[in-house]
Amino acid sequence: MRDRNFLLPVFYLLVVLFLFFPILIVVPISFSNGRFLSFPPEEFGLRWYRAYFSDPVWMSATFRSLRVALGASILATFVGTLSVVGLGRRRTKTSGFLTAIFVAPAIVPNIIVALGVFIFAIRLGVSDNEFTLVCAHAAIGLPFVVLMVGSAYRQIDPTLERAARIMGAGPVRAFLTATLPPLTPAILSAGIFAFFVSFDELIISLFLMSSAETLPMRTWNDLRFEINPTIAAVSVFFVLVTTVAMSSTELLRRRAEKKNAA
Amino acid sequence: MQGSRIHFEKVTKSFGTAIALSDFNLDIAPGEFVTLLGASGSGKSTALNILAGFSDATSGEVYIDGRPMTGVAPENRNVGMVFQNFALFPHKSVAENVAFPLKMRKVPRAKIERRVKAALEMVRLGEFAARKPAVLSGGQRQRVALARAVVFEPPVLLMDECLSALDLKLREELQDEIRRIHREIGTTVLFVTHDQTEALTMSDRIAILEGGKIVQIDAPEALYDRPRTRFVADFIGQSNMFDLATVQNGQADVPDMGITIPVVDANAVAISLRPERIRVVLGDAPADKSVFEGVVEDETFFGPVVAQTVRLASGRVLDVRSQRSGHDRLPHAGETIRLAFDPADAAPLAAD
Repeated sequence: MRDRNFLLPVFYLLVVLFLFFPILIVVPISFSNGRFLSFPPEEFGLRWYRAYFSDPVWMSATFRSLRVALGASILATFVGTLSVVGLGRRRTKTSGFLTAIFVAPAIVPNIIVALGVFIFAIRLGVSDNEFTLVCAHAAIGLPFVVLMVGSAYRQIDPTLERAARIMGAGPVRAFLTATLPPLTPAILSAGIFAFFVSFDELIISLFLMSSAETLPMRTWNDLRFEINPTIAAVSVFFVLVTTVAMSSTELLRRRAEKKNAA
Repeated sequence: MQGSRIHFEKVTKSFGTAIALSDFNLDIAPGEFVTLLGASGSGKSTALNILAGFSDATSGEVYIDGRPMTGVAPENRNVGMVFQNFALFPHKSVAENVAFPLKMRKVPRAKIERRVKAALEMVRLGEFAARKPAVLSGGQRQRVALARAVVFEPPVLLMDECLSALDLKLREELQDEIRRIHREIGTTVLFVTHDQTEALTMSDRIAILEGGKIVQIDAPEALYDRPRTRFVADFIGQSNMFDLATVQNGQADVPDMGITIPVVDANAVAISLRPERIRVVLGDAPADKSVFEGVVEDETFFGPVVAQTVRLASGRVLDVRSQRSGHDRLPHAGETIRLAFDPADAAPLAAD
């Protein structure tokens, strides 16, 4: 029995290593001072971090990606939450059909979405435009919001809203008082999810944008011509940013959840 | 404060082909405590939801103080309501929950504080004001819900199965509390329950619902003593029901008992006899026409009361509950028992 108990942690550790290996390998590379991407590095230093932070092209791509992801996640969360409320609690044929439409962008390959968005944007003359990209990214983030917020919404007791109404609150006030607070944790989680869906996205951005690069586009274009450790520095920096963002949202979410614990 | 008059006029509600309420009429006097009593699906919650404004009647109209309610949103009806599952806002403190209806009515803050304090004291939860509902017990939560429903002194108070989630002892405590509050604030109460004891102990009048219709509405005593149909006799308390042979000249045979009793109601098809209204005829009392016989089948001893089941010659079984006097010896199981009752205690039942 003891031997078996010891096998499970080993297996767990292997799974964790398997998941994290690609992330972990870039850490030592990023601290290399050599001119080329090599493992293990011969000399350690912050050369490539300096290169990343001092390069205006990399920086503008970074800020563009952050801006777009923030905009897309806010838009997706707002529209998605309203959709959930609009779809209602009871599953009917109409709501099932509409849910399928809302969730479609997560199932359709991004390249097909990209093609559609591209043609549409060209027609309207809004390609190579950050706001168009925000909308496109919001569309592919929307499914996650509809699913995550939707499942939370259906678990909220509808009599809370009725109670608010009978006590004198109008429909909007009743929603804000009774339904929104218990929904906040799910909205936060969905928001962060939508944020990273946009932040990661390459294909739609490649189709839609030309002069204004996002961070994945910059990375992609950089990799196509030369491989230098800047990429590794960028990766490590973003692993950090992601970790901080994820854990702070999780903390916020837990606090909101605790506040609503019945 | 003055309660409102509530009037349901020919209210019908259907969900697709299912009819939840049909031709529902009910008139409730200001300050009256009326209970809708029925099994689930009898339409009692539907009636309450229509009065609250959560759903619209398919046809008919509900009036509060003569004002038709169709098209009036719940928030504009000035009605208090206590829900079965409490429906307290989990993220708000007890005091904030109770303050909510006052805040919605734009009551000045100082006044809100005073009234919240008074309402919480009324339900004896004064020291719990700052707590969150999550840390309260079920009974305490329901008392907060009650305080929240009455804090703005609504002329109408609705209660939807609001005690059924609690255990018996708490339920009885809260029944007393609700009655006391009803007396204190004088609001009109419409109470919905499937618990007959609750209905009998609390109400001025009880409406028994079946299949979306009121089958009988009466004061608790009248309902218990004079049920008008088998359904009501069966639903409220324990009852022995016996078919009558044709009523003629104010007399009717009770074939199962082999006796003839005077029956005033010519439409009666059966009688209902409460177990405690049946008398055991002891000793050698003269056997007159009203005495009938059976064999004790089973008995349960409750101390002051003995419950017996008696099989009559016809094969019918009836329940008898006797007060024990301490001296008399009641026949035991297997022995012959002689029974009688005052015909006035037999409630005539019309066909359902």
